[in-house]
Amino acid sequence: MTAAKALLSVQALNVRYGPALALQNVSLELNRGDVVAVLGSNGAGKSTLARTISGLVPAAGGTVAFEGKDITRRAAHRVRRDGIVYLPEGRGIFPALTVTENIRMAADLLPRGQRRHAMDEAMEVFPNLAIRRGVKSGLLSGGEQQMLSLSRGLITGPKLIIADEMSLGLAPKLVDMVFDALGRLKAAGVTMIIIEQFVHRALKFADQCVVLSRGQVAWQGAPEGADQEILARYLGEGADVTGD
Amino acid sequence: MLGYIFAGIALGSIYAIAASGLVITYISSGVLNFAFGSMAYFLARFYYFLNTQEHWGAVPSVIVAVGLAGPGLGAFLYLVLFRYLRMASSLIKIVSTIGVSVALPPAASLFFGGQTITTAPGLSPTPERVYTIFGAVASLDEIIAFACVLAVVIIGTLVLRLTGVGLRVRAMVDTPALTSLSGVNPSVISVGVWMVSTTLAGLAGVLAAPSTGLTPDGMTALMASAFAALVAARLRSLPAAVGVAMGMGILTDVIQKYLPVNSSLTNAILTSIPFFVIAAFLIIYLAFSRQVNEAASTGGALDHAIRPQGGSAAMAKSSASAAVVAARSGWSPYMLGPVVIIAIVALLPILLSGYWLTLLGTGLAFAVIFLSFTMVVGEGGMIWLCQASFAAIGAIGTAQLATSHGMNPLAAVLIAALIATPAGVVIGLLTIRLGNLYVALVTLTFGLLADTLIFTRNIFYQQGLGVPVTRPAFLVSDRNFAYFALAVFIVISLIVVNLRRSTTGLALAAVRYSEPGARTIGLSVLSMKLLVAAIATFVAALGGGLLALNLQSAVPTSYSTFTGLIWLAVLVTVGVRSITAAVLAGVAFTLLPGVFQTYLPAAWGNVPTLLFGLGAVLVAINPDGQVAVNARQFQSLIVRLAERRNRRSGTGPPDPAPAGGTPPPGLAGLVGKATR
Repeated sequence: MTAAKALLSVQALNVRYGPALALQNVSLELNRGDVVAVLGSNGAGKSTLARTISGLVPAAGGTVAFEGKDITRRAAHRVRRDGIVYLPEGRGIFPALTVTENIRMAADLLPRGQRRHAMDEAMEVFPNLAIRRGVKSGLLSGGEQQMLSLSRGLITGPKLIIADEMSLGLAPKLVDMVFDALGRLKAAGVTMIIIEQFVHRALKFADQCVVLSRGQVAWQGAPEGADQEILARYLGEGADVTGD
Repeated sequence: MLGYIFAGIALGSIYAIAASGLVITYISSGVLNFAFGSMAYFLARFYYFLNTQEHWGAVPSVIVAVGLAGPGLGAFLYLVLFRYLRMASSLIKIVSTIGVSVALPPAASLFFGGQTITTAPGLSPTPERVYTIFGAVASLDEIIAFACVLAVVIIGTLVLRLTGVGLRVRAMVDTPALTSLSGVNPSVISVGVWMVSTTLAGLAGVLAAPSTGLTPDGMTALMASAFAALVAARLRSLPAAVGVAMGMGILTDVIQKYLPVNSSLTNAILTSIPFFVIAAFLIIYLAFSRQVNEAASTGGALDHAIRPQGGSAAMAKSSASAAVVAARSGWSPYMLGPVVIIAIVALLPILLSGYWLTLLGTGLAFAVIFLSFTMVVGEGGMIWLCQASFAAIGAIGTAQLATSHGMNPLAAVLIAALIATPAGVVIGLLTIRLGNLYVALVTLTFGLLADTLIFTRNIFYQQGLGVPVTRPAFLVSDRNFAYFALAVFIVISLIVVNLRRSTTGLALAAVRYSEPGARTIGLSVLSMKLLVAAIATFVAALGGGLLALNLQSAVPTSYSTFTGLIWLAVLVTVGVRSITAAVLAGVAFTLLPGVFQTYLPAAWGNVPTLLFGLGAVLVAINPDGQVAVNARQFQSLIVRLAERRNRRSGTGPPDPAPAGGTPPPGLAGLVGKATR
């Protein structure tokens, strides 16, 4: 895979929070239609990687290229306009705005004539949101908020979705719903980076896996070979998948 | 009664406009604009220039001065300063806006002339029309003020609720990070908000000028009232801020019906209202939540997650270096710089004479006052804006004890400083559970209250002449006095250095860097902060006493809170954590204006203040000030030179241990224990 062909190419990325080095020499490439699971224990740098690609956190070194263009220093709003949607950890919604206003904020990126149709479509895909369209989104249930976050991300037909812990704090049934929605996107050929706490679901869902440890890429490869590596990275070098 | 209510509604309307301007900039950009009063003054002064000096009509004047210059000034200040401040620490945000507040009045003097303005016109034509409504009289200016606030509230509500721009502003208030992730450029929203806010400042300034006077102090008082409404609204709620501001305006006028006319008591009560409103609301909030902190006031979880600890990258870098400096003990080559600077300053009394020697003595007394900022702001991390009031207590206390009670002047300086210290402890106790912004607001309001309630009393004020003080016999010579002030400065500097290197100092550095982080490792710094507050108050008062001795009189107006803001701006420009900076700032603060007054045209007299203000603005880029920047550059130069010399002589640093090599014995022992 070459950087010129890849949809997203991250090369030797370094990120600092003040004096602390959060990411060190991280490289990653995605082709169109790829689904990559980024895994690692708490503090490994998964969310930092997502935030840096989306332009929220500045890179201290290295490059991020999207569709062959360098977007390393590009502001978050311009990265979004380029077609990268970051669905942040927690809930990617505006709690003080209503459901309709939340979707309208996302739809504003579309040409004026398409906005109404796109908003109606979002409500059709997630009927619960249509019922609660006038409610402030901070008052929605966790699952509804995640649906809203997804609908905001999908409304403009993104080229790359970075889903950061979408299942965090959700009931099992709602987690299924989130993965169903992501599955539909995968089937539609949308390129995705999935950062997930449910490791096995993420591995089943993804085509590739990247394991981060202390801000560095500890391992990357096909999900089938990831189990032992992940146990080692999550639980320490002595961990054994057989339990011996 | 109705007449008082009409007047109160008009006053409340002005407060409400000012409070609206402050709230919208705070919630949309995270910056509490301490320059609001100066912006109001600048634009109102421009209106006066057009309307009175250039004889334009009121309508074209207000269109140009408020409608065009207001947004222009807002956009300019956003582009050159405010856009850098979103991620900065509270101290940097406050000091930068203070820099603007210090720079704008002299800029107004340069542009529009420096004449004293006794009466300022309002928006109504003269002679002012009056109307009788329900049997009570209301002036056209009062009606215009009310109409303006109605227009602001109605237009603001319609724009925010019904337009796409309003939706984006509300989204930005909710979470700026997510707004960016929605493809909206936050800078465009922010610049628009700053333009609106500055226009509101201009409108409030023009409306307030006829009653408060067209002076920076008058506009600062207007801002203090708006700040009270802001605290009541916990910095965020626009309707609450407008409501409380209207209430304060009505209370201020209605209460006058029951108070004696032209009485000092009436004046004292009226000027105390903002302070008591702040105190009342803070007590209520503290009773409910035990802590009032602005940290939770801006942005959502994502915004907090991406905000670097210790402020911006520059701030974090400087904080880290400060922590390293704090950890050193004993003699270090890095101390050479301060020693050399102080040695050079020690030569100045021999080299200078006459006028310049007097200025040097004054500068060294200021250096002592500046050390109080170094302690309370630089080390303690508490943004106190009332150090000038403590210096005033020191000065007038010295004068009263020495002149009115015949005490030895030096003993008087010491006792006056001791008298001031409990005031600092009380302020410390009151503000210890407040966030940085609230501390700044409370101390600013306290300073303004002290200006009006205490320092204008004739026993201290003496028709503007102040109370004379005589120096002790051995300090009559300016040269001796300069050396004495320098000796006091050095003794206090050693205390500061000792504090910085103590466990308390390290704990304070940890809190400055990250208060939540410090709490999680069990650091309770309340008592340490109180100790620093007490010492800093003592030092400020000591400096005030020395200043009074040097000038041989204590004039309270020389220690106004606004003047104190200029002092802070000067010190921060040079470096708020550096002892060298304190002495350089003190000397520059007096010698630089001396140079301008002596060698340049009189019209340039305000330029030093302008420069000091602009210097404080630059802390957005160099949070530790110019001395720290230069010191770091000098240190890295020395390190580079040393490395080059070592390379040439073949005595470079030892090679690092190979990866996977034998761990140090202590660590090996631990590993052994852990694995056994």
